[in-house]
Order: sequence, then structure tokens, then C-alpha cells
Amino acid sequence: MIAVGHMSLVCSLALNLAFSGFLIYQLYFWWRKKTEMPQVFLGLYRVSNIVSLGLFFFVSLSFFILIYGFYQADYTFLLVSKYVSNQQPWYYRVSAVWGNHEGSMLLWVWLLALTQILFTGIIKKDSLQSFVSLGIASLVVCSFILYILSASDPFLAFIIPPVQGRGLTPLLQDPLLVIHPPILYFGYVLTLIPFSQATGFLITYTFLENKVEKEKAKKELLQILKWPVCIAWMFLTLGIMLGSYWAYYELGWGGYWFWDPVENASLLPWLALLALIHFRILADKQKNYYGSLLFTAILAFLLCILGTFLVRSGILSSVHAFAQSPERGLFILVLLMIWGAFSLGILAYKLPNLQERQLRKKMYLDSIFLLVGINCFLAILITTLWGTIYPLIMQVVFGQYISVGPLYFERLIGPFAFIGVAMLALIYTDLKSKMHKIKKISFYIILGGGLFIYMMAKGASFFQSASGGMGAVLITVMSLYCLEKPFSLRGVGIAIIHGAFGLFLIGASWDAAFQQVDTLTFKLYEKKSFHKYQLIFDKYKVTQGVNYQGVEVPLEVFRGSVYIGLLTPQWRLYKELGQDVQKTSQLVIQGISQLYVVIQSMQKGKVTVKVWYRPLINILWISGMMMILGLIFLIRRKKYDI
Amino acid sequence: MNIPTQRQRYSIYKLSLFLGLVGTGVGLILWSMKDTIVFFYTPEKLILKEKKDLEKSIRLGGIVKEGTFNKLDAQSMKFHITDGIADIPVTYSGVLPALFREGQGVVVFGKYSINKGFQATEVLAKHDEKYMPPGAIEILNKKGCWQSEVRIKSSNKKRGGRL
Repeated sequence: MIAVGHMSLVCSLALNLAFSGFLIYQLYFWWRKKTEMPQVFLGLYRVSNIVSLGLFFFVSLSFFILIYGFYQADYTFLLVSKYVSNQQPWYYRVSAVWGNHEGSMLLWVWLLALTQILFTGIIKKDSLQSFVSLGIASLVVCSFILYILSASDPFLAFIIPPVQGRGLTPLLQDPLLVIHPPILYFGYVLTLIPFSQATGFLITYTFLENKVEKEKAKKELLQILKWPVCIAWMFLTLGIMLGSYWAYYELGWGGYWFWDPVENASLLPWLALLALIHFRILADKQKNYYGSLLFTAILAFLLCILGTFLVRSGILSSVHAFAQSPERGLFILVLLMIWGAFSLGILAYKLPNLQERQLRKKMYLDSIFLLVGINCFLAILITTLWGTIYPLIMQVVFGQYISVGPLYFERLIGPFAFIGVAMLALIYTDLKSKMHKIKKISFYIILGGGLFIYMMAKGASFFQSASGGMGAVLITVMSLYCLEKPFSLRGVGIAIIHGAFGLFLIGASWDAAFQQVDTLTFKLYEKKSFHKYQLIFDKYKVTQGVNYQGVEVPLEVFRGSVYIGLLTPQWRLYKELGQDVQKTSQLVIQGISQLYVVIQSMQKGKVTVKVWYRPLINILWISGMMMILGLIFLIRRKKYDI
Repeated sequence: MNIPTQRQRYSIYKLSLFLGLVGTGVGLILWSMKDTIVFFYTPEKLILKEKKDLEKSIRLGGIVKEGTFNKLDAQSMKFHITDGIADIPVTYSGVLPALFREGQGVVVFGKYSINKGFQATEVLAKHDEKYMPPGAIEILNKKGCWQSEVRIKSSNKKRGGRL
């Protein structure tokens, strides 16, 4: 089994390498001899279809062998014995595959193979650009398979297998482990498509002779950069959201975003994709800004590799830190440098050819606003990137361990987000129609300003109130835009996606401003009041899971004399690991707020818990879902459109 | 001296605007970083390198030394943080995190003075029991005073993580 898994991975590498070699050879041959173009391309297309399927087959084979090994708790796999124990339920056995470094890299490669199939499916069958891009994509896939085979082989064997494995960290034994990593990873690997299409475009653009062909190439680029990018963004959004929700209820620190390096690492490509999506619109409208478009397309993928490096290098101490092995980090750093130097080098070398001498085009006012908005995304990106890698630089160069506080990020990102929101409001407010101008603006002022003043009066800080007010303005802008225009699904989709961001701002600032936290010590049957609620501690309850024993602390929640619900924080002991974990418990109030409890300590007949009141926190997850669902409205039958 | 053409003048404007923006950006970042950076020390570093009181709050990471935990009264307590080379007495009042144990890794946040020791305002024991503060392992390893039990614990760190 192990040998088969390993061999099929080797086969996939060989196949893909041969394919890239074949592509390069064919294209070079064609370039030298100028044989009949359509014939060559038809042949290439058939071959690439077969190769992509073959690659997917081989990678899937080894991936499913690994999964099967985990499922069966087959301890002949060294990896299985490290992360699986006999008592673990089957779904955590399977998801333990990506609960560790080697397995998660195999998942990464499997998704890369899937991406290559998708890419083969959407490329144009008769253009040079698409085949060069495909060749680059397959080389990237090769480099990651090579990484697995040389630095993080999941198929290592035990000659004498142990009877019991070590088991997965209790923190990871959670339903979200099953879906969070695959979704986030899929978002990451899908950025391969814009990356390779951008580099392919850059390489082939100068070979094109006449203007018609050049226009065609640009059109093809814009077409490919549309949906794959949106879908990548969608998966990243979903992945980040699930991750932050996981952190929220699992860690028991009461927050959902800690500016942890790994969280930042997932935010960076998200921002790059956001910039890319908007640059594409700009390029389509203005027939300009191709350089920036290509740059962000390349950047998104490079940031994904950087994120992998940050997590895997083991330099950083983080919630996400896996194995600390320098050679792995070094390998990924080398990959990052190779692909970075390759793509950015080509960009720098070919960019002068891209910009045609032409009179400065008149910019539409909308486009200027859009440009400023995109630059805000990029500014946020640079800020986050610097805050993430600066501690690393300090550590490597000066040997000084530092950490950058959340205040740094909030203080710098806040103003840029404000400018971005202002630009958004300007774009979607039709200022030319004089009739409604005054009505509209007074609407904004009343709603936004009203929320701002209300929050200030309730004791929120200026920054929080301003965010809330901005959110309210944004929602108003988007709903007016939606109502005013003749009904179109696209308008609704745009309004939902952007309005969701306004909702997010309101939720986040409200939660930050008005959350309450307290540490309460209960004796048996004691009643304590917290915020507007009364909590009564009932008897301990012993719970028994598949591989743990736990104590549950039931807390009945009343408001006045009305019974609201039961909070059940737990203290679990995972026996075979000898580790204990505090499970938080949340109670949803009025659909959008939460009471959140985690056990601090337990003595005989006495328990200390930390309680949070989180107003409007559920809005965060709702707005995240809205951003994703809004994209569905943008699907159109016509292939080429913004 | 040549009079710059329209085109040259335009590019000079563009360049200066660009430099101005970059300068402002760098300035903003540096200004914002200045007071949000928190330095992390190990006991050895704190005692040997910083032979004075520190004004800013810092993080101190190490292992809670066995047998040093004392309750002063209902709320406040005292313990030593060690990295095998140096010990630093820490006083803290408040609720300890659930994973706080003697012999386990811990990170405290607060102010350090030579006379009073470390006065912590926050105690973090990471969610993972196998957590060791960064740098502590390295230093312990270097000095060769690495206890085998601790070694097992730190090698277990390889296990798991999210994402």
C-alpha cells in the first residue's frame, strides 16, 4: 500500500514533467518552423486533457491510499501512528490526514491537480497563450510534488507497527477540521490559474504580430481572470470565515481574529484577489492598467506560497505552527524565490512592450474612484504584510523576539478602509442625477450620522463609532442603488456583496464597543448576575465521549424571571493523550447576540468561569455568508462580460 | 540649464508624488509600530542583557519552576520563571489560565524591575500543553541542560496545529 502510494506520486511527477517538456518542445518547434498552427494546437489540447486526467488519477490514488490508511488506523504508516489513535472516531481519523504537515501538503497537491484539470477545461483551444500558461501551471504542480517527495514524504513506513498511535491533538478534534482546511486550501491553489495565465500572457504577448491578435490575447486574459478568480476569492472567504469562527469557539479567548501570522497569511491573498477582481474591471473599462492587473495576479499566488512558508517554516510560534523543520521551510522559501523571480522577472522584462504609446485616455470619474479604492486594498495588504514579516526579520537578523500588537494593524488599516468605503459610496451614488442628490445625501447623513452619534453616546470610541457609521452609510448606498436602478440580478448581487461589508463593519464595531466580560466564581446553586442576565450554577454533569471524559458545568441563564437557555461549558480530559481542553459554550440571544462561557478553574464545589456578552456577533458570520452567496447572482450566461 | 519639456516635467511630478506617498506610508508604518511592538525575553536575556529596569511592558517566556508557586493571598501569587539558566520571580494577581502548571511553558506580560522582579498583568499558558515559548527550547538545547522529560514534551509539539 505504502509503496503504491509513493510510486503513484512519483508517476504523477514523471507524467507532469514529461508533459511540460513536451509542451515546451512542441511550442519551440512550432515557433522555429511555423507549421500549421491549428493542427498543433488540436494535438496539444488532446494530450493535455489526457495528461491532466492522468495526473489527477495518480495523485488521487496516493491521496486516497493515505486516507484509507488513516481510516483503517493502519499503523504501518509512520504518519498514521503519529496522528491517529484507536479510540478516535472515524471522521477525525480521516480528517487527521490534513491535521498534520505531510498530509496537508498532499491535500494541497491533490487540489493542485484538480485545479490543473479545471484549467485544462477552461482554456481556449486555439491560442498560444493558453498552452504556455498550462505548461507553467503544470511546472508549478511539479515543483510541489517534488517538494512532497523530497522534503515531506507522507509515505514513510514502520517495519514493526505499534499497537496504538499517538492520536490527534484534542484541539483539532472538532467538526470544523473536516471542512476548514480543504476549503481554504482550494481557495489558495485556485490562484494558480491567474498566476499561470498572467505569466503565459506576458511570455506570448510579444510574439503576436498584429493588433487584432493582441486585442484577442488581452480579451482572453480578461476572460480567464474572471470566474476562477471569483471562485478562489469565494473559497478563501469561506475558509477564513470558518477559521475565525473556529478560533472564536475553540480557543476560549473570546476573539475571532488575533492578527496571528497565519491568519494574516490567509488575509494577504484574499486582499490581492480582491484587488485583482477590481483591476480586471478597470482594465476592461479603461483598456489600460494591464500591468497592475498582471502584477496582482502574480502577487496573489506568491502570497499563497509565502503563507505556506510562514506556516511550515516553524520560525513563527503560532496557533497553526506545525513541525519545526528548517529544511522544509528552506525548500518552500526556495520555491517562493524561484517562482517569484521567474514571474516578476518576466513582468519587469516584458512590461515595457505591453504599454503602447498612446494619448492619455480620459478616465471616467468612476474609474478614478475605483482606482483609489483598489489602492486602499493594496495599502492594507502592504501594512499587513509588513506587520507579519517584520517580527520574522527581527528574529532572523537580530535574534530579537518581538510581536506586533493588534493596535498596529487596526490603526493603519482603519483609515484605508474608510477611504475605500468612501470611494465605494461615491461610485454607487449616481451624482449626476440632480433630482435625488440632496435626498440621498441627507439619507446617508441621517442614517450614518445617527448610528455614529448613538454609538458615541453609548460610550463607544470614536474609531468604533465611525466604523459603525460607515457601515450604515454603505448599507444605505447599496440598498438605494439596488432599488433605484431597473431590477437586475447583477445589481442585486453587487449590492449584496458590498452591503455585506457594511453589515460586517457594523457587527464588528458594535461587538468591539459593547462587549462585556467578567470572571465569575460560582458555588453550587449560586446565582450571579452578569450584564442584564442572571446565571445559576446547577450540578456538575459527567460526560463521556468516544475518546474523552468530561465534566459539564450547566449554567442556567435568566433575564429577570424569563428563562433564556442553558450554557454548558465543558472540561474534557483526553486520556490517551493526557491532555485536557476547555470547551466553550455559546448561547444565541435574539438571533444575533451571544453569551459565551469558558471554564477557568474548578475546585471542589466551586467553579470559576469567564463570561462574555457579545452583542451582534452573529452578524459577522451572516455577512460573510452574504458575500459568498452574492456571487451567485453575478453568474451570467453570456461568457464575456464584467 | 535645459528647460524641462512638458513630458519631463510630468514625469518629475509623478516621481515626486510617488516618493511622497511612499515616504508617508513608511512614516505611518514606523510611527504605528513604535508603540505596538512588544519585546519577548527569556529569563537569561532579561538578566544578562538588560541590567536595568525596563519602562515598557514586555513579554517574558519560560517554564514555571517546580516548587516555586506560592499564593500570597486569595488573589495574588508568586512564582519563578526559568529557562534553566536564570530565574525571574514573578508576581501576579488575578485568575490563572486553566493550563497553568508548574513545569509547563508560560508567557507573562508586564513590567520588569530589578528590585521587585516581574510584575505580570497577564499570564498566558497557550492552549497546547506542549507549548514552549519561542527561543526557550533553543537556549535550553544550547546549554545542554535539557531534561529528557522536557525534550519529549517539546518534540511532541510537532503534533498538530490548525489549518
